[in-house]
Amino acid sequence: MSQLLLNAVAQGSLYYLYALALALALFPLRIFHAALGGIVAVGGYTVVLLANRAGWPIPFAFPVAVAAATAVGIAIERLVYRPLHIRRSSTLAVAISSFAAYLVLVNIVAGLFSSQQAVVEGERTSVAIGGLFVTSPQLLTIAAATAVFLAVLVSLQTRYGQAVKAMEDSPELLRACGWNTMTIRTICILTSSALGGLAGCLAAWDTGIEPGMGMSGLLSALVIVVVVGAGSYKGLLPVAVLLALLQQVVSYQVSPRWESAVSFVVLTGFLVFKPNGLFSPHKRVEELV
Amino acid sequence: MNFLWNALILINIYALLCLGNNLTVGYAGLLNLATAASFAIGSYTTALIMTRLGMGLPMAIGGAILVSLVLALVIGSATLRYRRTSFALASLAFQVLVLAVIRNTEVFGGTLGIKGIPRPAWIGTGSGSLLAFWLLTAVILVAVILGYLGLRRSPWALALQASRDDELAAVSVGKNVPWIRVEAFLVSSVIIAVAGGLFASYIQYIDPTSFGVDESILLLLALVCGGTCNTRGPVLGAVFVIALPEWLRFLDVSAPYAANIRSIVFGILVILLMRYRPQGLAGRYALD
Repeated sequence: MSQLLLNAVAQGSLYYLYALALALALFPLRIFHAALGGIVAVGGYTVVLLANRAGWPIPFAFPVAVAAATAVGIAIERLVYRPLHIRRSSTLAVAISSFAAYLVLVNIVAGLFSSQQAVVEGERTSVAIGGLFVTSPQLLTIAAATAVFLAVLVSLQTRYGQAVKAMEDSPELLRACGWNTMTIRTICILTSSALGGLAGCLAAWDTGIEPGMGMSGLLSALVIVVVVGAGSYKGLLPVAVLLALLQQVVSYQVSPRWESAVSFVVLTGFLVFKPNGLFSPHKRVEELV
Repeated sequence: MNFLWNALILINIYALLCLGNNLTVGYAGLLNLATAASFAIGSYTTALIMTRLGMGLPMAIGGAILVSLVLALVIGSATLRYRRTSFALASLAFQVLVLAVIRNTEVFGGTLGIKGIPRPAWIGTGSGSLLAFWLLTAVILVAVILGYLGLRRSPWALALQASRDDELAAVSVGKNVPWIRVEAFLVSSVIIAVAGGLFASYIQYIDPTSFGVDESILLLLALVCGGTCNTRGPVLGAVFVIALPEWLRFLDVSAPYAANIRSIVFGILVILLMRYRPQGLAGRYALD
């Protein structure tokens, strides 16, 4: 049972990274950032490429892969989102473009690597803590999520964190206060893409990656963001862990085949009965998009 | 020749899919990500009725229409009460759930799918059978297009477009906006289910890989690419989505790569269209 809990914490940590990456585009920029699924795949496959074919050790391969994913994210912001933002296109047009960018990225990755599952080769050490087993990828995932969570708590107090929060309510007012909203857009997309790339790396190291994996990660992130509610960054981690726990329990008690379906039952339930989410009494996530 | 008929039949089926999706995406402005799920519901219901109950194609498609109506009514009335973007999330959830059920339930054949779905007996198996099947799909396609043309200036279609352009204004003149949207989703699901029935009977073997989230995205992009809110746009989108990989095959690109290249070309095309021509190639309404 405690092993189940530990696995849920590791899986939830990974979900948290996805969810935060999505939230950073959805809350302040109102972008339904489907292309994130492609960015995750870029991060994961870069690690596979560097570690398996070039033989790089993990500590060197990860930063390069995160950088590659970030570069792709920035390119999407510059080439796809920003022109639409300047034209004042509807969020529907932005969302459709984002899905288009996702399709392009995933199919480039699938064309280059085939759509088979790829795993980072090399040894994974298993550590036993009080009768529980935790693998090194799991440990790194939990550590990364904890570090990111603390960093979010701290940065929400800074001027930039406040500005990102303010973007949700009124970008116009923020501009009037002398902020360059384009800079904030870049910061959000940069952070979001780096987190997505990191999640892709961790997934590739832990369980392996396939081109469509970014999308399933994104779908879990979507469930978490809806459950948490608009504008709450702090609630993402607990909800991510709870969702992972729920999936683990269903997978253990019923069948692993229903693992992915259960989160969408949760999503439907929240959309119908509590569309505001748990932590955001005044705004619904869907009002952003 | 068979190769050409195959493409022509698939173009008709995909044109039905895009026309169905046109109602939600184009007329109602709803981001529908459950197209492949509705397609799957149509295909699987038809396949089950034909293989298990031994009924003919018209009965099977009738059953598929009923099933898709009920499911769309449940999903639509539960989620379209709120702002229309909650529908995007709900449709995505619906898509994933339908696929999970299909993939994990014995009745639907799991990941193996359903084999041996018959074509209608009167179509035969000879050399003219593909022509006959094409005629069948063409008749249905023409009927749907005529329906669209008849609807074009109807009060219902105008109210639907008003709910898209200015929800508050539509409500203020007494239109029941949530219900109009549910109706649009119902009609669209029915058209897509019919396309699914035809697809199952034509392909004769269906499995979950044809109905994933990526297929929904591809269908959405095909529609946006062709253009929305008229009948030319969706049909053009369908021609594109089928003809492009067939054309790539002439350039000696192997089939899996052709699918990848098709998606890449579509993605880039849609990004460019959204930026420079948001009404698509032949559409009437700019998704701007």
